[in-house]
Amino acid sequence: MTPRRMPIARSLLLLALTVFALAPLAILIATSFARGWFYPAAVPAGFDGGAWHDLFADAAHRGALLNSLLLGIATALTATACALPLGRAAAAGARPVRRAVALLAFAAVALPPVVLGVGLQLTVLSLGLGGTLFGVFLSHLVPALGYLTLVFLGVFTRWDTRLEEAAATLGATASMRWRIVLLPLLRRPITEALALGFLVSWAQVALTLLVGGGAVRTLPLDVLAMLQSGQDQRAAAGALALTIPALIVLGASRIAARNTAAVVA
Amino acid sequence: MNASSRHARTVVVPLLMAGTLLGVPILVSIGYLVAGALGWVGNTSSGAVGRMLTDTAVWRSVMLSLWIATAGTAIALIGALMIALLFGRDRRLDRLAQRVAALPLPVPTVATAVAVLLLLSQSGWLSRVAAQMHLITTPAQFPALVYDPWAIGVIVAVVWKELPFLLLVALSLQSLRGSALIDAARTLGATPWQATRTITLPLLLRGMAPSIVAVFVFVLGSLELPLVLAPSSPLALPMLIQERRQALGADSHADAYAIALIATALALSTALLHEKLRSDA
Amino acid sequence: MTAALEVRQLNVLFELSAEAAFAGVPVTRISSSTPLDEPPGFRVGLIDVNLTVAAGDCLAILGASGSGKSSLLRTIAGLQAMRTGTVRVKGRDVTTRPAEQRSIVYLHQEPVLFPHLSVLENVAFPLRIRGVSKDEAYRRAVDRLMTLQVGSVMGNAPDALSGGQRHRVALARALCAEPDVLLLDEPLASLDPAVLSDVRAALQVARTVSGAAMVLVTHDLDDALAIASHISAVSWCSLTEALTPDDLLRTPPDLETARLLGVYAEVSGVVSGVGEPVFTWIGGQLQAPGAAHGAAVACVRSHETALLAPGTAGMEVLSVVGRTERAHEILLELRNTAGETAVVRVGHDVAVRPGESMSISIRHARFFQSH
Repeated sequence: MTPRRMPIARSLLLLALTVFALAPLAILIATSFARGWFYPAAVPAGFDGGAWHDLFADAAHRGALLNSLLLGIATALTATACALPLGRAAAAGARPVRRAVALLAFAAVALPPVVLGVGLQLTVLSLGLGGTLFGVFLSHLVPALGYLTLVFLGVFTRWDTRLEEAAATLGATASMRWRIVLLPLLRRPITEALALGFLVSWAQVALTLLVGGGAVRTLPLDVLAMLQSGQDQRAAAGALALTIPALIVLGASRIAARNTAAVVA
Repeated sequence: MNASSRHARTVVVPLLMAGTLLGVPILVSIGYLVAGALGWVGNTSSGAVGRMLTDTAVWRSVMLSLWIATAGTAIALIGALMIALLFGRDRRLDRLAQRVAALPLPVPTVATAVAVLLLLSQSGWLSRVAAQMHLITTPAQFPALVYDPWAIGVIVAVVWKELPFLLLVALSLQSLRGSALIDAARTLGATPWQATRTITLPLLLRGMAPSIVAVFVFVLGSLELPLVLAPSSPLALPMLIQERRQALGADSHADAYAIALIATALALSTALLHEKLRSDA
Repeated sequence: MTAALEVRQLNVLFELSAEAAFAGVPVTRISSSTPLDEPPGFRVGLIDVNLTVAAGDCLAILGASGSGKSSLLRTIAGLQAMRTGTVRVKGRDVTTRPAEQRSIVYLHQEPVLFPHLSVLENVAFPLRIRGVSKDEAYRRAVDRLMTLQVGSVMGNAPDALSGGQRHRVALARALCAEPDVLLLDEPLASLDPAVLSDVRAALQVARTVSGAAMVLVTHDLDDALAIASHISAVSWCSLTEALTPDDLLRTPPDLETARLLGVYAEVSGVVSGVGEPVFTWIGGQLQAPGAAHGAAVACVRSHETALLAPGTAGMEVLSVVGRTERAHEILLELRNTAGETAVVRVGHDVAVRPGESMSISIRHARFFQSH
């Protein structure tokens, strides 16, 4: 039974939480659309889309955006395609094997991207891929694989194998079982994995910086550059340009998740 | 299904797959780090590891990074626990709180850093509000919340990003557990505070332990936040690595590899801790 | 002597999210005059509950699943809100008091042990939160554990215990709280027969040692008979009068309760006759003192039926058309020449088989109007 003590305090706390969550987004929006916002004005003198226009008018920025998109999509697809069978195989494995794989996956996530970047930079250089988009893509795969393996390991550990057993005893072959039992139930985890894989690459800074060696420009790197050169408004616009797709991608995967009648969480 | 094919399925195949996809890149890159630190590649001198272990600048960087990670994680945790305990039972508020809390989650770290900078820097929004309220007249009078030795700006950004994550973990743990334990404690005579202190909190912390470690290690290794918000002396550890790597001169490259190895040791020990906590929970 | 537990005019509400099952009740049968005001999110379960339990006594409440028994206990314990009625413990009105101040311990059906504490810490919990020193608390906890014969597991973690051990540890912990009232929610429901008698014995010990008033709810008559001094039943959303087991079995208050007890064969017939009412069924007639005229059901136990040779003393001849073995009795399906059937219960010593004929006499029955 819910204790109804302090309803006011709770509403206040919810308000504080909302302000806390929205404040940074609000400042980004305000700054990116501001025209002539100088100290000590607390509100911009006017609003226009100047910073946004500059951001996308510049061909270099557009190129960076394109790179980010390509990297994100490629990472999402590849990492999901690899992590799913890996997670499934590991979940079906003996307990020490499961733990070893979980540890390995977590190490890929826990290792600071800088550290990974420094090591992978040498690797990629030796492969002759230094400073190439493909080299950066390969580096993004490592943390993405780590995250997604953990996701699928969790999914398949909680999996109800009885569904496939029932289908098998009813005469379904392996490919039929994949098509009719597994894939529909996996739609939600796969969507979430794709979203997560995309975000890992989309937001990546250290790996791109080190492995790309400055030759590969992505949106986060551009935002950092704009910030360091004092272009606050463009940096804010860039930061928002970075954030909005992330919000959309995650929102879309949540909606897709709700629409799926998934047996497995 | 005979024993050997079962063995293949449960041991060999997963290990082989994990080894190729995850193990190889990690081991190779660590391998290159070791090689670079020892001077086997990259035309550097050996002894970088020894040099770095005794370099006070390195240790100050380590301390700064540990401070940021500890303070940030602790504050985010305390905040998340307080909110979860207060909201945990009320189903309607709980769902709303969950939606609000989920907002910062997908925001890329760079965007967070930019936003916090715009809010907290001496010419940032808070400073302007203070000026409007006639508390200060110049930007320099506003306390230095970014680029400061206590890395307050970084910690604020960490809390912004990680409190929602920890809050969601706490809320989902609470909803899983249900009220039976608390009911039992209450009819045994425990006041609500006693029940929270002796039952709810310990169990929440136990369930959240792997997430807490994950947050800690993520903050420890983040480059974006110190890059934008932290002081330049001492540098946070990831910054130090990157700076030495980008610097000219093979020796500083070797330094970078050596420091990276130290960071690797830190990260891997936390990874082991995480795995132990995860399997205990 | 002040009763240890007194409940008056309590209306029990189901929280809709917690109990989706709701025993449907035809509105015409509810006798209470209070309007059924159902707050949002709740459904009315039991109306006008009154019960009194003396210290050291045990009241069993018999009821089908979903009838509101658990909600009743939770309401008395203070875990669920009360809209009407009063609860008094040892004369003290605890109606508005929170659960921790009522001196009422509620034991869940599945024992709820704190997973992060050892058995000993679990049992010492009620003492520690009252400020008792660690040494003293542990000493008393060990004492209780030994009383309930689970002293050997005191250092274990709760998840390493067997079902019976978990129940006994939960009881030991409840005893340490020294409650005035112990509420047990289906304490024996999830146990298999081997463990059952152990836990029953533990409950007896708990009752004697604590001197608390016990209320247990169950759907199984055997559990009630084993431990309780009085039994009430849930019938049409209210509680019947608390009777001793003998009284209850001899004269159950209504047909629904009789069905709940599960020990009677139901025989349909008609009550008629000027003067002494007589119950007529396919097997003959018997006196039905005090029974109302009309279609009726006679509830008969297996030892109240006697089989006789066919046609004895001019009684109706019935042929046996079915025989079902049960654990403690046999069901016989009988048919008369007109094709009407009835099912009676007899003891295991009866050897008649389908196809044979016999007569049957009912020595004693309870009569209820059928609708």
